[in-house]
Amino acid sequence: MTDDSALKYSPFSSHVDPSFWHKLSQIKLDIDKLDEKVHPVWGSYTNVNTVGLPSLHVDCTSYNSKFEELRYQLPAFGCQLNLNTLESYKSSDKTILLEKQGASLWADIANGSVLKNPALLSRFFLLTFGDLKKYTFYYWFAFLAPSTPNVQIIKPPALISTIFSSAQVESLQSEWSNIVDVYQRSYFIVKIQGDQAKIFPLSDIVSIFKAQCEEQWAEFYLAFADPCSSGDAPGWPLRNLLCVLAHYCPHVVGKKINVLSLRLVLKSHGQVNAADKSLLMSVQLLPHNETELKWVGWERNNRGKFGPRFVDVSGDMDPKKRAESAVHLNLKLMKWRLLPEMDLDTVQNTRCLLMGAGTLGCTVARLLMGWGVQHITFVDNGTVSFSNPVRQSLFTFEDCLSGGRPKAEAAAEALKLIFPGVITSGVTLNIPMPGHPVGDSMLKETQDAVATLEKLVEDHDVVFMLTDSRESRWLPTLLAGAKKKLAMNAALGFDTYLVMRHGVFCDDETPPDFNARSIPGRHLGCYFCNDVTAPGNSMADRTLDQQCTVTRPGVSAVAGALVVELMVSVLQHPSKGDAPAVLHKSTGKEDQESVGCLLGTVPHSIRGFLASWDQLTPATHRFSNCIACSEKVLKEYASRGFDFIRDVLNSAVYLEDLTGLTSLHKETENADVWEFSDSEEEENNSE
Amino acid sequence: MGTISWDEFKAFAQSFLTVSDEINDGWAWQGDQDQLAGAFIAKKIKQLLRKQRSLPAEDETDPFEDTSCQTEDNHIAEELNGSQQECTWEYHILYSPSYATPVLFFNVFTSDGHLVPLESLWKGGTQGALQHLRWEALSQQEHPVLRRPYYYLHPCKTAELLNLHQGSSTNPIVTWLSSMGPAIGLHLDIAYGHLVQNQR
Repeated sequence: MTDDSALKYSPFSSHVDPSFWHKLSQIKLDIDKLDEKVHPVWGSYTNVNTVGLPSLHVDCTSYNSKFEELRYQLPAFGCQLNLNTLESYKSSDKTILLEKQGASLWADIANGSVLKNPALLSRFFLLTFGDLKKYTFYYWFAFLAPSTPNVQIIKPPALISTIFSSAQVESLQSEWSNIVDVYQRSYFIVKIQGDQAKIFPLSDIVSIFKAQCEEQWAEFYLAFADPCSSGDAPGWPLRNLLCVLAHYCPHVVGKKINVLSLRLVLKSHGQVNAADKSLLMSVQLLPHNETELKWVGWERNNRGKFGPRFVDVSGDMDPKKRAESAVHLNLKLMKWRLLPEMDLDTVQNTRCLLMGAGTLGCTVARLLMGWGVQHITFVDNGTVSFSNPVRQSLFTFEDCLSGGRPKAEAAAEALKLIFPGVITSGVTLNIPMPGHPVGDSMLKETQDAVATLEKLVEDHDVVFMLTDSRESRWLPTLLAGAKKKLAMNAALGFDTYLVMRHGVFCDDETPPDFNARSIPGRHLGCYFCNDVTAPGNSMADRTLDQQCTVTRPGVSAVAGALVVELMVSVLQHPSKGDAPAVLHKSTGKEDQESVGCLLGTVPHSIRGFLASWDQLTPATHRFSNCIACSEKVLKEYASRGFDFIRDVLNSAVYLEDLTGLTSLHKETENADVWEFSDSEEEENNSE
Repeated sequence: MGTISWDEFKAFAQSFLTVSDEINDGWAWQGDQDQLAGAFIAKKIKQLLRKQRSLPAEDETDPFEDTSCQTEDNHIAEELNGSQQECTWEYHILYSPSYATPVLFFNVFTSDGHLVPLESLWKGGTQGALQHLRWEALSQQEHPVLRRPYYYLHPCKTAELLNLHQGSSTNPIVTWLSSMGPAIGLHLDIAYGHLVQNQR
């Protein structure tokens, strides 16, 4: 026998619907648990309108007790063994597993079950291992077939239309379509009588092929629904069908058998040429020994090897990944639909340090997450108290119990509960403040706190000042200025708010042009630039209501939202922290400078007044005598480090002397022309 | 206007299915029709793509390879489409109770059950018109009935579109799908045309 005349079959290729992995996981977690169970599973294939490789599908309905009957879908009987560990997967003997499945198929052939229910011949085995924490699966299909009998081609496959008349083909198609029982549709016997094709069930195989003489079955065709859409090779199901014939009618061995592979291309009702792509061939079975039957059918993997396939569906199934991609997709939609030029990556990769985890800190953190910011660190010295949760959106009543949880830590944990993809932590420490003297006992702790803060500012890109006092903003302002980080500030009064960005300094020595219509970021002032006193101990002389947050509850939400949006606008500006702030809103047509970034203008500060519902966006220059951001202060810090800071903490007037504010005060007293509104003082009482 | 009720949706979908059955287009109901928006009509299309994975080098070993399974079997025909990868496009037409319009959900997956990310679809360029959609109404959502992630065309513009055809369309599903579908590779057969013929 030459190789050319040996009949070859087109193997099935496996198709797994995503829903199959969902169902498999669910069954493993809820039902099987640690059992390594064998599950009966349904597969389906079709011989109608097929595309590509002959495929066998499994999906979530595969686990149903009844086959999900869909139009033109044929049932395949499968067994799935789901193993618990990768080790048992690797070490399991695939040959023995396949032999076991083969034995069961052989039993169905030998005891006649397949004659009553021919669909039992479409048989597969599925070996799986799923890592349900990683949402990855190893899986290996075997489409069971006996290795023998060998079959020789007598008459090579030919298109049906070259042999049958069109009336016969049409009759075949309509007869087959009229088979009601889906289990009888995959394997059957066809007889041609005149213009008519007649279909007999597979159970007639014995009576039809019982004759000793091949002329007596010359008009009969052993037929099967062929999942293969193209080429000369008949599909895999024929293999098992010929094995059945060899078993029930051993005398046909060596004789000519007609085979019909039914392939339909159905495009409309009453279409007459749908079965034209079917094949006819004649074959001859070679003798084989049933007792030495071997089973084959393991599918090759993507690499063409005999081994399992691997799939990682974590992107579709891991809830954490789904949350992540959903958050990013939501933001991308903004980019896709409205602002194609938007730079989301810069925003999302910005590491944000939040000084304060109170009403402002909670609001700011949530909104940063809304923008996809992945890295958020809280600094706070407090614990969650009973008054907090109603205003501070990251806390609940539970956080207040047993003395209250540290706020920074509780806030970070809440962020993770909201969005597990966030990188967050909470640092509990007291921010050293000017005019709060450091005794010897506190020296070590203060030194550590300063070192921690220096490191934190170094490791982040943006520092948010969201604390409840003016003096606690001094050190962060100094550190952000010294390390040239963008500092964002939000402060609240009872019904007013101030939101601002600090200038981000560069080494450019060009003096500011006070007549320009805008101020570049490098020349913008900080929170302290408009104050002519150094921060002292603002808590010392206050009544309880002044020490606590006394603001209209909505103010912090408004200011928190604005400070985040302002940061995003700064980051969208090509000059980032150096983005110019417009001094006076243009009255005429908008020029490039006043437009700012693609999101609009980038103001220096936003002052809002709820009583009148007004909002202003003033911009001010960096003040050369500023106690937090002036050259003198930065230089002093650069050369003396902690010693300088300790001097500031110990004496409120030290900074005023250093920066020349003291002499300025004297001059103004002499001139007696400046008047300061005390409305500024409201900001001191902020959170 | 341009909106329809759940019962109307079911009726329109049913006449859509009648045509589908006639031309073997493969649409079928799924889900529970007795529940508001609990059912939808679905169709799958298999598409061949050029295989992206390169074949492993000859000497490359597969840690899971099991040569014992390589029983001498010379009865396997050569793969005809060996250089192609198969993708399945799955389309679902649902009813959106909040917009009172049909809404289209879809997924694309490879034969191992792995969803193809939207970005790859765009990059692939196999569906040129998809490019335009990225600015408009395409996003990912949990399928309201199946509770799994699907891409979907946001229905915010659907009512508007249907309103344009008010009075001239006798089956809003066909009107809408024939204008939205091609962007995601779904082309309606001309046979559906008789469902929207002007009855005036």
